[in-house]
Amino acid sequence: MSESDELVKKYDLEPTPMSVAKLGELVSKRDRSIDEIINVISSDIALKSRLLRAANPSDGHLKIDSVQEAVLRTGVGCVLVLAMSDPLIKALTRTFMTMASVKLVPINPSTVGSMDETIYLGSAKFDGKARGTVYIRIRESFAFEIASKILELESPEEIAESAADVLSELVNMVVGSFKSNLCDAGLSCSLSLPTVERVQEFQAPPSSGGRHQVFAFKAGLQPVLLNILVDSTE
Amino acid sequence: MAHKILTVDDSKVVRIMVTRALKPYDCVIVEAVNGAEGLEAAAREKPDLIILDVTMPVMTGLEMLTNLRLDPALKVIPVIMLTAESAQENIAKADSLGISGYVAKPFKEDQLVDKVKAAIPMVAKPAA
Repeated sequence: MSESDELVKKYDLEPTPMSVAKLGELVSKRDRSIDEIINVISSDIALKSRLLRAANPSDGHLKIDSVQEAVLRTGVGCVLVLAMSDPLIKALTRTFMTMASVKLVPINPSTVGSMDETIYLGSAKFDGKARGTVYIRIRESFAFEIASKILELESPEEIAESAADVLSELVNMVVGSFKSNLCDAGLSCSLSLPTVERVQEFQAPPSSGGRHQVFAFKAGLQPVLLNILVDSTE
Repeated sequence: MAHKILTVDDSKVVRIMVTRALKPYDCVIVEAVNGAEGLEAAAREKPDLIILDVTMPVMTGLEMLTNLRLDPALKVIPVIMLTAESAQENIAKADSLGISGYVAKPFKEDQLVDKVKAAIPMVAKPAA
């Protein structure tokens, strides 16, 4: 039994997800031939589908339908972001379910219109072999609902006072878990402390040579938006 | 006699959850917000158990654990890691320093209570 397997058994840990192993495989092949990267992507239906979506125009007319063409068009950096987003999405959905018993259902980001109220914007940066920022956006009313649930609060004043702290801890859990996955995949990096701001609107900051992906979810009627912005490390 | 448990976490939310999870048991909870305060609290309070986060400002949980194990008066205190930091490299380091359990965030309060019970004998609070 490997040292890693022994730790998993000893501390009842979840084994490394397949998506992380896949990410590690991509990273290890990053400096190798494009054919090897294409082979890894082609063997992962979800990753292949996300890459083709990213490579094609948003008007829905599929023009690029081969992995090779998509990789050449988007670049290996984009492939890495898409591969990274898998463990990030898993961390987000697991955190909301475990901490607040809230089930997040993936939806098309283009179907989420204006948030219509003040937004709670949580973010944290990761820096090292992988660099970037993760943003989580929810409506103020949902931030209050979650704070009330997790801390079992009833007083509106206490709920309003605690909402930012609760979202900050959720961001910490999501990004901490994601960062651990990156480390396990060979992309060692450190995390900033999470921050939470109340904003009226959000525009992801431009990233020179980097990649940006947005994912959307519904929790009942409440939208949850997740942005991952990865700076170029090449 | 009530057990004394030190929870070291920079998140007030987590400290509230830990306190709530252990409320039904005959124990006293002491709080610290980073590793440096945690070390001071450990020396002052001599807790029966420490529940320790990893990523904290000022001094991380792994730095606190390292210092704790170097102190003859504190090195035997059992420690449970409660952290979102689940990279195997860090778990291996904590394991080499000696920990009694590991709970990954996000967590259910029951999971934490089970680990605490496995580390020290916990008795339910007598009915009021």
